[in-house]
Amino acid sequence: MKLRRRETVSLQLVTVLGAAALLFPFLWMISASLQTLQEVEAFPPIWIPEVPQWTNYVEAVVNYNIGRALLNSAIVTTVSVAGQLIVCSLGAYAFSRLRFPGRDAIFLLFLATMMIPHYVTIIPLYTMVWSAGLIDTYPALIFPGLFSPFGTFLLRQFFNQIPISLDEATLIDGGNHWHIYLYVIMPLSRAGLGALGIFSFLGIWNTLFWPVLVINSKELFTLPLALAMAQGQFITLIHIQMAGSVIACVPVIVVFLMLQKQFISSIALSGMKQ
Amino acid sequence: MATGQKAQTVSAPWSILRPRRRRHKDLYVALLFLAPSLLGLFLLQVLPIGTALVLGVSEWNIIDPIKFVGLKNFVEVATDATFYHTLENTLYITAGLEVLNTLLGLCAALLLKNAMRGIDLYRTIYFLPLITTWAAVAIAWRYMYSLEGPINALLGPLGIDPIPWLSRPEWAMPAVIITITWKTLSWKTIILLAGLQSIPNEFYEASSIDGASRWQQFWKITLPLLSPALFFALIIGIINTLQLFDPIFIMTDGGPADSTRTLSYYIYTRGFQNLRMGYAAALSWVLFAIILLFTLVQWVLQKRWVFYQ
Amino acid sequence: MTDHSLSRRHFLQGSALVAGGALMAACAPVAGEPGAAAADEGGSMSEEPIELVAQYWGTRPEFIEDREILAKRMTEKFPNVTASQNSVPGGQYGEKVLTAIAAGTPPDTMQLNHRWEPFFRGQEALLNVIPFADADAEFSFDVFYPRIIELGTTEGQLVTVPRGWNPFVIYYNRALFAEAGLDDLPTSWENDTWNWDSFLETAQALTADSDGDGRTDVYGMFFPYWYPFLRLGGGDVLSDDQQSSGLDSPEALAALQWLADLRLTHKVSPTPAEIEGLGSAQDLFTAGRVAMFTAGAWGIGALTRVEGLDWDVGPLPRAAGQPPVGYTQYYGHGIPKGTQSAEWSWEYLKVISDEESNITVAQTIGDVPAMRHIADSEYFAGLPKPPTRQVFIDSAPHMQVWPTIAPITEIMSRAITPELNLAFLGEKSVEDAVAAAGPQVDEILAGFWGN
Repeated sequence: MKLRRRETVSLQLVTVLGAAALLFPFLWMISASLQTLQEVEAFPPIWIPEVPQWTNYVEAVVNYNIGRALLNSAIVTTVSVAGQLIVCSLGAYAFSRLRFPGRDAIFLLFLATMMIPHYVTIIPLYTMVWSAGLIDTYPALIFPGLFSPFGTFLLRQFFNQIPISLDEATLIDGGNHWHIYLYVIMPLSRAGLGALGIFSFLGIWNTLFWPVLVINSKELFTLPLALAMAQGQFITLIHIQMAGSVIACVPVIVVFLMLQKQFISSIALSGMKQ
Repeated sequence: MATGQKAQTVSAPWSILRPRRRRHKDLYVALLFLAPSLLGLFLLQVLPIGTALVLGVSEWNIIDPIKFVGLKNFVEVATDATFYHTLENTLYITAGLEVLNTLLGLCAALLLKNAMRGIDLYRTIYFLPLITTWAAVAIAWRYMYSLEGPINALLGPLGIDPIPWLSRPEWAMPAVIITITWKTLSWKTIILLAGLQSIPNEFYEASSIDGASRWQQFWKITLPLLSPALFFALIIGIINTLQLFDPIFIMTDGGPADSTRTLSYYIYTRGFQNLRMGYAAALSWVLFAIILLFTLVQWVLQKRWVFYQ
Repeated sequence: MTDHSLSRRHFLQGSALVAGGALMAACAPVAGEPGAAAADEGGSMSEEPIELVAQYWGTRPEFIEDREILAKRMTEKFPNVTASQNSVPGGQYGEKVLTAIAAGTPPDTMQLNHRWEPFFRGQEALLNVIPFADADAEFSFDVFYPRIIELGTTEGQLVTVPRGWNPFVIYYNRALFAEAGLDDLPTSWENDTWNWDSFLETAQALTADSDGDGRTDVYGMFFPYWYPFLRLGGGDVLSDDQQSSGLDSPEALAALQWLADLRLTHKVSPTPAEIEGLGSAQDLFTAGRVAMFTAGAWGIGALTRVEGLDWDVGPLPRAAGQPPVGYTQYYGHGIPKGTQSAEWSWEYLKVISDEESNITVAQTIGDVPAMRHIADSEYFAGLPKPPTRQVFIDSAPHMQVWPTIAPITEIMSRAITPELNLAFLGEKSVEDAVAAAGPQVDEILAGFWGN
């Protein structure tokens, strides 16, 4: 689809304007991470620190153990996201491609579980993890991230967009459901898998409430717990917190850049599928 | 025929993986594919939620034993003024957020779909709000809304007096909706963008040859083929927004004068602050019923507008 | 009702076991039942190895370091004990402790303050520490400020061994005072020339529109907390018998009206709309836009960091015909019921509240230590000025605290604050707000006393 030059320019302009509006708190976060506490608290906000305080980053890493927290978060998030992608894609395949009694009912049950505020389910869940002797361990952090009704639903939607005719082609070649899942559905659903990967990565990366309950040792603090260390009841060291936040953002941006390639590549693939 | 039967016996372990036409034959394959999900569903959802169901008909202060009280909690919900007030707030936020997010998310996805120069950079920028920590977002937006801040500065030339956005009950809700839209817009954008990318280019090329205008293409190709993604984004968006809690907690703490307190926040308060877990569970079930109703209505209506290939 | 009730622990564990089934039970050791160590009770303390956990809120590195030192000292004192500390962000403290109690694994000691003490005591989730103190020759309550012990004791029960306290004072900007031609604030709490009238006059003298644009640039005062003024004026949120709302007493109404007038009539205190986006009271004070504000001793730590700010503290002003009120919030630690061994919890509690720990409160944390002789020593009173630290200590004879009734947080957050905020916004008259809050307060109280 070719765009006319005038259209291209105006589209670009709109995109830039939108981007500028979306960018400023992020820029402020970076700027604040290089300010003194007094500068951070000034009003109206200071956008360019007088002398960039690179020591904020040193302090965040040294005093607030951001390095260790980064490692913990990386382990927990990677395992959870990988597990979630596998579990959800298998489940979504069943809902999208298989016919079995009670399919829609079970699917609605999946959906229904998303509709209960998790505050009332947190105590039973905690008791379960405690009974299993998993308090203050990595598995306690990973376990709840392995399955997601949301992820199953998301992938099912993407799987549904892939023409059934491709399944039939595989069957004619003597393949079975496992082949369809592995060689047809998964490669063609990179956009969906990429999107789910980003969402679940982000969700698990930022979660604070659950780690607070199941983690006691400082050595197992995840990033949100470590960032909360800069927060006092009356004084919050915002500049340190922002430095830590910037560090915490870097892996997420890297993951986004990696996964958004999946969106792009899906154009090429979708061209092939008809 | 004999060889066929033999082959089937040999490949017995795999044979169930072979697709069948008949409906119930897929059951065993489905169980294989669903097994991890069902285990997760049971452990992480059904069991804790089942416990919560029992709590709904109980009185429990978390510390003393659970006491069964029948439907007392639900009777109390029916006459609880704060319940109605927070439900109203919740519906207000949901309506505002879903409309803004869906329209703007669609616009952003359409913009970012184009292969213009520097698209990777733009996509990343559009994604940044989602990863900027709420702490930074809250501080930056507090400045945006301040009396001498940028938003009031823009309104000044239009002859509008500075608005104290976050400290007046009538303005706090629009302010909250705008900020949360800003923060979560890219969530919808990602879903819709991924959906757009799954639409084969051939459709557009074919219709261009037929002389269709861009506008016609949008209505005849883009929207129908994007409808499963839109449907998904709406369903999930509404399910999540009806349970909105964290952003309110961070930005306004429910104020001023409870004008932004959501039902989910109220449930949390009753459970963990007033130690009425049973009542909180009952409220949760009412909220569940409301969300389920919204979802079922959408589910039924999807036949009218969602187009599956 | 016992026949209709079910132990929540067994109920939850039962469901958890059904859930986990063989899968999780098989791959993990079953955690010890907290009741198993009950044999300790009454008997002498065993030398068996034991792990103790102290629960705190706040995760600032200096706090965590302090608590790790306390744990280390406990382990040094008793070689069979492995002591550790749990610190969670302040916002999640309630959830953390409640979830642990629900699972049957309460911490061995837990931090308490004006908010959490009534909350957990009201649920009868804390042990009375007096019997432990009486039986312990090493320990005496006499070293603490007697008012703290007195205020913490209800019906012969004391659940908190105090560690520090936070008297509320007036923080003031000396440079702005000098500009307005005002003297420094007095330092004596008994001085009756420092009263609500002179406070208002001072605030009026300080309030200024320095650039002449018709908008106030410096406000005389800011009150992030209305409760201390309610007490100064002789009122309280509850009636004396704690059966109903006390906000409709003449004293309470007058105090609240006076506060509302500061903002709405005299305009010496900003409305939320006027300072939209400008940050907390402390931010406004640091920026020189507010000349006086009220806060506890935690303000010391925050303001000391600000370079070039000339400030000090003075007592809370007295209301006409009322005695001085030194409103304060104390904090300390207690023993949850159902710990593995109450005796060991008590030993840990003693380390957490001892003299050395009080010195840390004075020097590192910056609050006033609960032990009088440490507060009076060079560790606190002798630290460099500002502030005039004697002002904090001198409030001790007039010490008053937040109501100790169990549902006080619910009463404040659900019934009173939303209504009073409307009054302070000028949306409602004080009388209407109080009249609207009253029945809600009474309803919560009725529910509480009825049970």
